[in-house]
Formats: sequence, structure tokens, C-alpha cells
Amino acid sequence: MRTSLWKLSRVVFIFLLSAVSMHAQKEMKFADYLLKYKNQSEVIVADESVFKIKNNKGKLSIIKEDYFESIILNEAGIKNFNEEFYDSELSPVLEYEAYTISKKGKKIKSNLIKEFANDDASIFYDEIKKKEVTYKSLEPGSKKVLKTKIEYKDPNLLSRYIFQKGLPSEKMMFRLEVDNDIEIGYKLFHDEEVDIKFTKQEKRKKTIYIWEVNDTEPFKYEMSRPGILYTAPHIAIYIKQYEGADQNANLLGTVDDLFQYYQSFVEGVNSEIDAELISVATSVTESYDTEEEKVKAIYYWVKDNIKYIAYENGYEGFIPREANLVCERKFGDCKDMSSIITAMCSGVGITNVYLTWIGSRDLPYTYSELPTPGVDNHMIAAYVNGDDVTFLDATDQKTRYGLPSSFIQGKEALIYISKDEYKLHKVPIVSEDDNKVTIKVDAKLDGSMIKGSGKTTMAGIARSNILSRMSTTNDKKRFNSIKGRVRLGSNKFQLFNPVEQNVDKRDSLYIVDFNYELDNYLVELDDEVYLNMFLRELTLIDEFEDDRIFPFVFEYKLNYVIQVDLEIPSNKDVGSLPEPLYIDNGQFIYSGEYSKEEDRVILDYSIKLKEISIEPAHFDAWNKSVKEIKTYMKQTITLKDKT
Amino acid sequence: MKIINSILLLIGLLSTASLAQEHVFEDYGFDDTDIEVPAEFLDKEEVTLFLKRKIDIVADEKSVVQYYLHHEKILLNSDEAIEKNNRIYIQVGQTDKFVYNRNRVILPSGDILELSKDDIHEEVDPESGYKYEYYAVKGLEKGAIIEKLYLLKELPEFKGGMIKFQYSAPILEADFEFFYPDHLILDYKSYNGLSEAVSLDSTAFGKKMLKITDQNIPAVDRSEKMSNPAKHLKGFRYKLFENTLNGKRNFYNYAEFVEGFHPNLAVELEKKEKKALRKFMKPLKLSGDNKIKTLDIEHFIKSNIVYNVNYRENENLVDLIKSKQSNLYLLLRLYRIMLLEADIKSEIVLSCDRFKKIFDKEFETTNHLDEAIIYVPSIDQYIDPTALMYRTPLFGYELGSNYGLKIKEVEFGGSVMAAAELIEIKLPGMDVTSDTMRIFIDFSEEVDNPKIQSKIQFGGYAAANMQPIIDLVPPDQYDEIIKDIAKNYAADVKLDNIETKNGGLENVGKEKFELIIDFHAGDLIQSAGDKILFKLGQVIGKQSEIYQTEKRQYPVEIQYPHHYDREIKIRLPEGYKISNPEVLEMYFETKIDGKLEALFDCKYAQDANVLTITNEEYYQAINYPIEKYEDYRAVINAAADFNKIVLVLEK
Repeated sequence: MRTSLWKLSRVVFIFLLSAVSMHAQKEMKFADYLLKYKNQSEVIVADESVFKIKNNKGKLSIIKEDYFESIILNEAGIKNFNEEFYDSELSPVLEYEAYTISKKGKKIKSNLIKEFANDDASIFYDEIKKKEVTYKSLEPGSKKVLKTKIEYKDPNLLSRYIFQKGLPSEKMMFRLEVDNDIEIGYKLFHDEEVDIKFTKQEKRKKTIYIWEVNDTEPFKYEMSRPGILYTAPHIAIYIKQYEGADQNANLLGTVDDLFQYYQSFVEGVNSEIDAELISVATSVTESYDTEEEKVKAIYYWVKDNIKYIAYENGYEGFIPREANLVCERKFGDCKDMSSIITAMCSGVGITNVYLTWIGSRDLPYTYSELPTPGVDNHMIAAYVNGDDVTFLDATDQKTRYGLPSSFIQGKEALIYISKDEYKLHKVPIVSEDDNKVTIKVDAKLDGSMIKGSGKTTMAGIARSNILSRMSTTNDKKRFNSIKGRVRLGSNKFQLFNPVEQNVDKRDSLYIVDFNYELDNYLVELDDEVYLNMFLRELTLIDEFEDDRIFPFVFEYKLNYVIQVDLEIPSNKDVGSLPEPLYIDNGQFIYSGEYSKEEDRVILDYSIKLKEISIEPAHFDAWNKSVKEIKTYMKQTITLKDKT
Repeated sequence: MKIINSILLLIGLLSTASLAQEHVFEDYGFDDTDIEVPAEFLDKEEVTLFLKRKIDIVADEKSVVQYYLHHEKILLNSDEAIEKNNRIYIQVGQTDKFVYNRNRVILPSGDILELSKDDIHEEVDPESGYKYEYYAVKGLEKGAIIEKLYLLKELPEFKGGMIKFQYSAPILEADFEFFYPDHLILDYKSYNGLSEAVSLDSTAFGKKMLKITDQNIPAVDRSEKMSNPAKHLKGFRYKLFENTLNGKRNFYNYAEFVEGFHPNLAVELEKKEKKALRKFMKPLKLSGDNKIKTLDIEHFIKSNIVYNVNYRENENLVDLIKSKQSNLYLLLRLYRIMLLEADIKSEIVLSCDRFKKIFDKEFETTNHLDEAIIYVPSIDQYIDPTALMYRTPLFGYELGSNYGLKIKEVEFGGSVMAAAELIEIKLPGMDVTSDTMRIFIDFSEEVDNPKIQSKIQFGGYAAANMQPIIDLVPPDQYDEIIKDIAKNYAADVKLDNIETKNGGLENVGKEKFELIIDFHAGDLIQSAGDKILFKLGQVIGKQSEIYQTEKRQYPVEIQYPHHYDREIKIRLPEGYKISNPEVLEMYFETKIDGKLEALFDCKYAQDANVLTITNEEYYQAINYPIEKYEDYRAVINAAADFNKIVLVLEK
């Protein structure tokens, strides 16, 4: 029976249609769209976002008006009958309007709007509401229009505009209207290859900035590609200063400014630490002598005892909760975990562990490139010891002290030293040797079967990544996860008695010892047996498609080392063994080598991934190497009856 | 579909209820009894110490309500168990009210943390109308016990439904108690080894009570491939059978249900509806036999009207045609009337997802009539109005191989009446979901890089997974998806060419979906001295397997009958022969009651330098009893073993 390949449910329309035009340009006809966009089910006619920033006698008013208009091109398009927008305490929706424009130009209003809790699964309680509009009377040729008007209550928290959607767009526009007594800043990213038309009109009271792009391609999905912000043209705006009622108000523009804004959220947090929390911290650390050991003990205690549950409610999304509360609840989000780590450390006299802002790898910026709250999305703690900085991310339960979580590798961190002092420090990318995985397999022939034992070890992020994905609530599921990790030869691989070690010992290698049997793998013919000794596939490297555009991003670097030790049956001789192969193409190192020792043939092969992201410039060399390796790994050895 | 008129029933109850006051759970509270965990459960990560569900029907002169009490205690022994249980969501109906919602945590130290009311959040899902109360549980650590206790006031539910007794964690003790007025008589049944209910005619509360208790219930095992755990779980079903005061018997019977349902369906069209319908149907040019007409009507409706489960704005067909959206209810009317316009009679069949609920034909109740499909007698096929990717004869396979309640229309004295008929919904047979594969492997040009062409035709459900994609995704995404599918039949090597035929929704149900792949299979060749090892087995695509040997708990139940007809021709390189053709001889079968139900049969023949392999594989039956498991497994695994065949070519 065929394995189920493709479920329709997986055919997800990734329509990143954040709602958003104002006046139709030269009218295109339905037939023109059909001609221009063959096989597309829907096209965005206009996507426009207008920020109006005014200074009303020292008080800022910030309104964003979005206009979105799309046209349905075929029957599949009518299935996309919903659009959505978001409403929150800090950016409430003031007005909205949604309607269908029929083929004949008639406006059919949609009064169907439903409010959902934000569907971000990582957040338990979210004050942000998703509003979903249902359009009526859709047919090929009809248009969907959504207008929203949103107020921005905090002038530091303005949104970015991305000139790319899930659908092709005829026209995209971002417009900024700012009173002349407000100084704004903006940064454009990835605008090099796109023709963005920019105009600036200075009027008596205000200045109007317009960025326009026509004919934008939709977001292109490729496996393991960098996030959209790494490739799509986008703009981020911020307010530098304005004339306040009494004096000039200074907002954003430099890292110093951002820090000033941020520090208002953390100043005063944990000013008092309960005796109970101090006593927990003391008991956790009392058996350790050095400062570092104590920090580590606290870090591990938080990982073990505080579970991740996030509440997002206005500024609660920015302010770390009191450590005392986190300790009582035994749960919290990233800020809360950072809060309790720093508080526990200071409770035992360690004052150089600090709250730290950081962006995940989805965000491409450094703090100086984008000194606004759009630069980051995460908080950790940092232990600063002279020039050494150790990053402590308790949301990642399994990773050992000393290594960052995989999703902040290579990112810049903003460390809160004190109210007046911060430090920027780059998180290292964990080396491939720190993420080493080994598999050693002993094999011998038993009739037409291969049998033996094996051992695998895993370190670093490879270790934590695998352990965090393994379910422990179900014995069978766990068995099957292990089976996948050590599978040899084919799916006919049978695993017996896996024994795990160091599951809970973060500082040790995770080890699995196992026995196995593998049938239908050898090829026997008369007095000969053919055997491919590459029992473990190398799935880490594969050829890139010829038409791949974007870099390929790995979660972490890896050194993967395999040894297969084959016992030659006493009645057989082994034929000639293939020559060794060694390839170093700058991105990875491959090595494969056979050796013969008395009654054994030993095959060692390994792959060392040296880069975390592979650029398109290297695809050709990479593919050439992979082809060579595949050919090498196709070779079998021959065992022949002794004469 | 809540079609039944429950108001009538309520009135029936009211007029007879005399003694009604407070519910019987007034003095109920948290339970401080220590519970000892038996040895067999000690190593479990999570154990439900007890799970009590209780219902009390309370009636007075003005209203009838039911109080539903839920009380459970869960012992958490691992981080995973904590993470699974530290966020609690309680879903209730739109009109249900929480009398209270309490929770406490008993820590291993003996300390107790009780949930504060302020920590409870509320949310309403606008789609389903369900309300949620949810909260995060504070202070959890390994060894902690969570105690949940809440009481709901809700409309009485005499349709009953299934009370589940088996979940993802083992339960030491589970019980269900139902308190109800004297004059009512219930019908009930235990499923899958659940202990029998005990009925008490009087209790301290002056009411009758039904009670069921079960101990040491193992966790559900959902890991078995090709199984249907839902059918085998312990559960309890009840319904109101009789009201002795007014003599009404057999509530929720099918005949009454159909009587209530049919008039809404077969409502006479208004003039404006007729006009709108005529205009709507104008582009639809019907010709051919009933099969073609039915298919064309289905395709027309599905192309022009969006099924939107929650759309409630239409009052009639005029609105529907204008808004171009509909919920199921009005959609059924539209199908019925459009088929009638083409002189095709149809009947509604109601049923449920067999992977979720049990349709017990012996236990008459309407609670499980969740889904509707349309039966067309003249062609003996079904239409599934909500399944956008299917066209007749395909319908959601989860509704097939199950019982169904058919609303049969009968003429009686000149007028059309509806009758209930219990039927078995048969899935389209393996002649429908039938795949053919023609593979030609040519070694004549390059010995170590054979040229392969695979022509694969997918039928029925297998096709329905691929055929519509072209209509649903942008072109570049479509190419990627097809490439992904094709690669499976080409051992993941790079392809020279991919061609598809009969893609698109308009072809579903009419034509088979065809995939033609050309590639060079150097990757399937291994060298061994002067011999060529050719991994032939991979050209048929990756096959399912049940290799791991472990005791099977549930019988086999598959999604739909499926047939495969494969032919592989190999043109050998000049001067070569195949040294091990005998590996191509395979035969495995499963017979049930003497009838061949599953087969894997592979043979070969050689003519000059062309080797022809023929292979038939099929699964005709949906259910294979546990005693046939090993036979079934042998057939399934034969296909997976075929994947591993390596041919040795030598001079």
C-alpha cells in the first residue's frame, strides 16, 4: 500500500495578507488580469498603508489607515472568502469597512465579522484579538476591499511595512504624513533590487513621504529559506523627536534612545526579593563554591522548575514579572524566566547576571541597524564575567550551560547593566564540534540478515534539539523516536533494547546503546554476498534544486561521525575495498575510509557542516560534492566464499 | 445539525415535573481522601486518580435544567505531564453557565494552592459558539496532584451521547452518575468492556439514579497503524426512553427525527426562488446519463457556491444564490432541487465520522447524526456536499463503511412522506480507487545509468489527493508539489521531465489523474566488481509497512479499498542477464471467511532481453479481524519488501 504522500490539508495557502489602497490607478479590466496572471486565483490590486502623525499641542496622534483590494480570478479564488486584521490595547482599531465589489461594480457590504483570540499557539493568554471578515457574493471578477483605521497609542511602537505579500500585487504603497514639528526617521531594507519610487512633498504644516512599488512578486516559499525580512523589501519608521507641551520630547533614533525606552520597563523590577526566593536560591547554590557554578545551578533550576506559559496583555508584553511571582506560579514567559534568574543570582550575592534583550534569528537586524523595538522579540539573561558573556535562555529547557539556544545564535544582544549602562554583545554560533553526533555500529552476518549492536552519542544543540522533540509521555512513541535516530539500512531495521543514558544530565553526552537486526539488505548470489556498508544514510546533505533562489539555513552546525565495524564470516574473504574519499568544499568536509583488520572491515565516514547558512554562490560546488559523495556511497563490498 | 425539536420535549417534561428544587450536588466539594496508586501505574508519567462525572436533572413548574458536575484528580509524574496539564481549557455550550469552576494543586509537601477566580479567563469561539473558561495552573512540580472541580448549569441533554471512559492517561477509577426524576425511564449501554450500569430506583435525594463505575482503565494507544481506536474505547451511552407520566416512549427515534427533518428539506419553492434558480442554472448545460448530470450539477454547485459552515445570513435560495455562500442545511436543499430539475431523485443520508464516533444501529438516538451526504438511487452513488475536493462517486471515506440514516421519500396518497431507513454506507470499491503503473526501464543506452519512464494513473481517493491541487495553488507552488510527489516514484533522484494529465477539479470523478515521469536512475545502481546491482524495488514508490513486531491490540481498519496494478519492463544491457530473477516471485494473501480480501502477487517473465514484471496488490475489505492481522501484515509488508529488491545483472 502506498504511503500517504500528500494530504490536501497540507496545501496551505500562505496568504500573508495583512490588510491594507486608496485610489485605483488606471483601471485594469478583468480580462487584463486573467491575461497577466495566468493560473493565479487572486491578485492584489492595491495594498496601501498610510501613517498620519500629528502633533496636537505637544500630544502626538498617530493613525494608520490601511487599504486592501484584491480581485478574484478563478473559482479557487472564491474559497478565500475571509480577510483579517488585528485589534489590541496598544493599537486599537478605530474603524473598519469591508465590502465586495461585484463584477458590475456594485458594492456589497460585509457586516460579518468575527472576533477570535489571537491564534499564536505560543501565547496562552493574548489580549490581541484577530478580527475576521467574511466576504459575500464572490465570483471570478469580483473584488474584496478592506479598509481599517488603527490608532497607535505608543509612538515608540510603530509597525513596519513589507513590500511583499502572499499574492502578486499590482500596486503597493507606503505613505507617511508627518507634521513638520515632528522629526521622523526611517530605514529601508532590501530595496536594492526593487524599483521603489520615492517622493517627498513638503507642505506648509506637514511633509508627505511616499514609497511605491508596482508588480511585486508574491512571497516565494523554499524549504529552510531565511525569513521574509531577510529578503523582502521593507521599511521601518520611527519618531526621533517632537515638540512636546513643555520641551522637546526625544524618542528613538539611536541605541541609547532605545535603551532609555526599554529601561523604563525593567527599572524597579525585582527591587525586593522575598526571603522565600532567597532561600530557594541559597539551597540551590549552597553546595557550589564558585560564582559560575552557582549561576549554572540557578539556571538549571529555572529550566527544571519554571514552565513556559506566556501572557500578552498590553505592556505586560514588555515588562518582566516580579521574580517572586514567577517562583510562586512556577511558570512564565521568556522575560519572567530572565527575571527570576537575575533575581535568584542577586539573592545569593551575584550581581553580574543581567536582563538581556535579543531578537530571534527570524529578525535580520543589529541594534544599530534598527534601533527600535522592531529589532528584537525575546529576552534572556546574561552572565557577564569580565570580557566573558554567557547567555542564559531558560525557555530552551534541554541546552547545557555555556551554549545559547539555537534560535539566537549569531544575534546581537542588548544587556541591561544598570539604569544608565548597557552592553552590546554578539551571541556566538555554536561550533560543529560542540554539536557532535556519533554512531558506532557493530555488524555481523547471520544468514541473510545483518545483526549487531550500536551506540550513538549526541552533544550540544544536536543533543538538546533531539531530546526536546522526543516525547516521554508514551513509551511506544519514545521507542519510535529513538528508532528514527539510529535507523540503519532501511525501514526493515528492527530495534531492540535501546538503553538511554544522561537524558537529564545536560552537561553529559546523550547516549543510546541498542541492538538491531536488518533483513532484506544483503544481496546474495551463489557464493557471493554484496553489502553496502554505509548503513546510516547522510540526510544532512542533499543536492540543492537548480532553480533554488535563497540561501539554505540550518538550525545549527554539526559534526556527524559514523563507524561501521563489520565482522567477516570465517568462511568468507572480502574483495577489494574502495579507496578513501576526502572532500573539503569550504562549506562542509566529508571523509570516508575503509580499513581492514584481521577478520573485520571498518568503515569510517563523517560529515562536518562548517557553515550555518549556505549561500547560493556555493550551491554549484556543494552539489558537485554531493554527487561525488553519493557515487562513493553507492559502492558495495563483496564477500566471497573461501575456496 | 440540531434539527430535533427539543422544545416539545421540554414541555413534555415540565408538565409532569412536580418535585423540583435544588440539585443534589449542594454539599459537594474537594476530596481529601488519600489514594494509593497500584504498582502497575507507578511508573506512568500521568495518572488520573479519579474521574467523576455526575448529572442531575432538576425540574420545577417553570423550567427543566441539568447540573453537570465534573471532578477529577490527576497525578503528574513528569515534566511532560506538567506541560500537558498546566493550561486548562474547559469548553461548554453557548447557553451553559458555570455555577463554579474550581481548581487546586496538592504539592508533594502537602501544601495546597487554590485557583483564584481572577485567574480564570473567558473566551467565546465565534465559529462554533462554544465558550471557554481557561486558566494556567500555578505551582506545579513533579509529584503534584491537580484537582479540577466544576459545576455547570445547562439545558438538559437527553439525547445522551457517549460518555468516554478512556483517555490518553490511565484512570484508577472512573464513574458516571445520572440522577433523574422518577417518571423517566432511560435506555443505556456500555461499550468495549466497560462494566454494566447499575440502576437504583430510589436514592436519598428522592430520585432515580443510574451509576456506572470502572477501575484501572489503561490509556488509549493511538500508535497502531491502520487502526481505529475510537471504535474500541470504553464508553457509555444513554438516552431518555420513556416519560411514564404522559406515556411518551422511544424518544429520539429515527422515524420522528425524519418527520421533523424532511419538511424543511422538501419545502416548496417560492416564485422568486424558482426565478433565481433558473437564472443560476442557465450556464449549466446538462446532457448525458444521470451519472454525468449528477457529476456536472455537483461540480457546478461546488464551483460557484462556497460552503461556509457558519454562514447564517441566507433565509432562502435567493439569498444563497446572491451571497454565493451557504451552510450545509440550505446547501442540501439546493442539491435536492437542482437534481430534481434534471429529473434525478436524491435522498439525504445522515451519519458520523467512523474514526470519531460509533454509529450503533442497535441503539436508536440522533446524537451521532453529525454529517450529511446525498444518495442518488438511480446511479447508486453519493455526493458529499461539504467535501470540496471530492466529486461523486467519492465522498468523505470516514463516513463510509458505516451505518447511515437515510431519509427515504415515499409517495402516499399523492403526497410525499419521509421514512427513516437504516442503511450501510458502502465505500466506492477498489475498481474506483485503482492505480495503474507502467514502468519502462531501459539499460540499452547506458549500463550504469538506465533511462526510466513511469506512467502512473491514480484513481478514486488516491487521485483526489492530487488532482485538485492545480486549481488551488499558484503555478510555481504547484510545480513544487508535483515534483515532490513525482520524486517518490523516482527514488528521490533528479527528474528529466514531469508531465501530468487530467489535473483540475473538473476531472475528479471523471478521469484518472496521470503522472508521467522521466528520469535517469544512476542512483539506483551499485557497483560490485563487474556486476551491476540495480535497486529495482524503489521504482514503485515508498510503501507503507508494519515491520516492528509487537502485540497488536486493535483489528485493522483502513480508509478505503485500494487496488494497484503494476507492470515493469526492463530492457537489459546487451550481453547481460539477471542472475536472481527468483526474488521477483512473491505471493501473499488474506482471506476472510474464505474470500480473498487482500493480495500481493508478483511474477516475472523473460523474453529475449526484456524482463516483464507484473504485480497486483489490493485491499478490498475495510476491516480485518485481529486473528487475520498477521496475514494482513504479510501483504502490507510484501509491498514494502518489494522496495528492497535488488537485481543482479551480470554478463
